[in-house]
Amino acid sequence: MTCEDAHLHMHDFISGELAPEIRDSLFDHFEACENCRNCYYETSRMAVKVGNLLQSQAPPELRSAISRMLAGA
Amino acid sequence: MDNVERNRFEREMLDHLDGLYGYALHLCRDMEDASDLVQETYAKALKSSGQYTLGSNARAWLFAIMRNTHLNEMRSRVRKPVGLAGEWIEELSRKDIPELHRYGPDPGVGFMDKLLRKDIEAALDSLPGTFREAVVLCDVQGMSYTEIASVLDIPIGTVRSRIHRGRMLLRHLLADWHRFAGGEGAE
Repeated sequence: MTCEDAHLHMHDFISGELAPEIRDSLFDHFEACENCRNCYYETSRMAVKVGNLLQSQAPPELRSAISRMLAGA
Repeated sequence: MDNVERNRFEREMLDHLDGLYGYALHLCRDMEDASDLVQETYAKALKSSGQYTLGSNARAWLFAIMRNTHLNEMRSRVRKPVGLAGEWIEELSRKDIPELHRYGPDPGVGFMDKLLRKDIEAALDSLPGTFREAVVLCDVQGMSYTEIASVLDIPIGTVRSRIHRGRMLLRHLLADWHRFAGGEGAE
């Protein structure tokens, strides 16, 4: 697996979309290539951080308004 | 719809309220506008409830309605990358992916844990819209590529490439943001 392939596959892996049969070769590549390994660690940490920090909850008054709207359907 | 179907429809729609509100905040950048957009989205969903099959993908359906509603409202406005370094971002976003990998030093390690929500929002705001929305739908909303393709009405291959490129741009932006802010541990 080339570094270019590894970069493409690592994003699919982080997204939960990598085909299982490619997973082992991707991690073999990470074992052998420090640059790709570091890039994977940082990118996956960033994706998790973005996901955790940017979660939002609808304000209660909005939830009530939408519930009323749907109930009136 | 009978009462049972109506209750089920209501539940399936309400399950995605928090996600839709988060997406609306990304689109509008204003809490009041986001609430208005959410209400408009649900109003349209109700009007088109006949087109929705119970038990199918309510999330992708609602997000697509929200996005189209927002796009229609914003049609006259052209969004340009702003904020951190608009021209640089535009230049980076035009590069081929292999070229992008060779662009500049790797952002390095050690800064990610120090990031705050506002840093990430500022960096996301600086991304071109096509990359921003793909990253937000994937990493914030947790959607599959298939769902994202359906919401954005683009092929799955384009979804992949936008997420790939968007995340890389975001990493560089966040690293620079941290460097400019003089944060400890900047590489």
